[in-house]
Amino acid sequence: MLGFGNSPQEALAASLLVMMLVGIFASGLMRWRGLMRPTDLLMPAALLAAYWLVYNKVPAFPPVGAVNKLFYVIVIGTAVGFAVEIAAQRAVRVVAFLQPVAAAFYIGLPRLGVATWEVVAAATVGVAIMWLILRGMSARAEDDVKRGGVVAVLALGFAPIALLGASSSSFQLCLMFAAGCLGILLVHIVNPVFRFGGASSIGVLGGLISVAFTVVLITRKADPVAIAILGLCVVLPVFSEGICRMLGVSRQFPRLFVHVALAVLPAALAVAVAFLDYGSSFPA
Amino acid sequence: MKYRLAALLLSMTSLAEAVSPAWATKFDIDPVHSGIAFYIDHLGFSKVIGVAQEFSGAFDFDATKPEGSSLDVKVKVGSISTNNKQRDGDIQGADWFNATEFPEIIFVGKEFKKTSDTTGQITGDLTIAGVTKSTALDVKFNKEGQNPWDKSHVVGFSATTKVKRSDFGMKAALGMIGDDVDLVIQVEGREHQG
Repeated sequence: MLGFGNSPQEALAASLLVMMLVGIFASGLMRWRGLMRPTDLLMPAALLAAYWLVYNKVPAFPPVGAVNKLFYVIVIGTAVGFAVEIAAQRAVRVVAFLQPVAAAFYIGLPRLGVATWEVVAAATVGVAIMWLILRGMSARAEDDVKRGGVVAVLALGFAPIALLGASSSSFQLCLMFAAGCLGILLVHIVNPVFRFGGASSIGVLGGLISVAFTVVLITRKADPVAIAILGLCVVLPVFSEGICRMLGVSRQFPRLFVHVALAVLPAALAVAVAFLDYGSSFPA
Repeated sequence: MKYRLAALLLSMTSLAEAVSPAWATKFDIDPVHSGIAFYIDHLGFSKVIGVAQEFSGAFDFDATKPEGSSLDVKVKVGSISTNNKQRDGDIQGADWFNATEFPEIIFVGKEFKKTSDTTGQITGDLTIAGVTKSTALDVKFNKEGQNPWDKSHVVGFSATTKVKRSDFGMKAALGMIGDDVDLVIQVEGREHQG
């Protein structure tokens, strides 16, 4: 019999299972009811649920410290993103590209003047990630599932890098979020009715980029080589359509598989590099 | 008129006594003979010991009137050591002390209570990682006198307290690493010169 909760690992595994099951249930319910637009809120809900499970709090406003700021970056990003999605869908990308700049300067505020270039570099990389994930693909549900999948892989790959970079909370946050995404997206693998819109772009992808800003700009221990390799998660899937055409893959699920697999490869490599660099010195 | 002036002067003197320790001696904390250590549970097996290597501060103290004391202490977060380089780096991060945003831990004494001839309690504001909480230190007065080596005027105290790290927003690894942090403080103050 499994004794979940007997060790921290089991407690984490139990949380991941719960996140995935709740993701499947909520996503399945929306699909069953034929709700397309509200599915844009599923991934933000998963990220906020993960935040609450990890930190056990809703931070006071105005937030003090990067970890507390993060919560409001996600909440405000989700609210703004969903509002823009409803009011002016075409403006989502413009607002989404502004998010990493605003978040980098907000979270990296203490580094301004001391290492301004780091904040500017982080903002630039954040905009690039946002652009690479949102570019090209249409607003078709199939493409939105692909976007969601890449974001989940990005979170999954960043989790161990965050842990080895001294942020066990970010590790748990990213893992739980990824588990929630897995549950949400599993329901939409075939004939998807899913939207990765303003709330997901600005609240979730922007929020996840902000988690990275916290580790890179504030904790300042993340492995730069591993992060650079992880960045390929958003680059390689750009070639997925071409590869599918070359391989003669035309069906929906195999195309999704190729797209996500191209994100998984650099993520796995990034994790391996991080373990090689830091793994041996990590205190248990 | 004369009585009114006398009464006014008397009340002003009382006020001055109440708001500032006019006759207390000002001491600077001597970091060479002072120390701040903390103990935190690891999985119930042991208590990991940490120390603050860089701190500074000053206090006003008069043994006959300890209630009028004052105390200000600053600890450099970057100097906190737990005898493990990796962990010492980790606790500087955003999950823990967040040294980038909050490089100092600050304690400001607000209320000084004598509980016996040699003991007392200092209640003050402890600020860690940007969060301020009222914290009480149990203090033992050790000795006041002249240091035979350099003839300086010295006073020494020992103090203990217990804080919850979660109160200061540090909730990382709560299942593995204890929430309660025992603080043990030894302070030697030298009379302020100049």
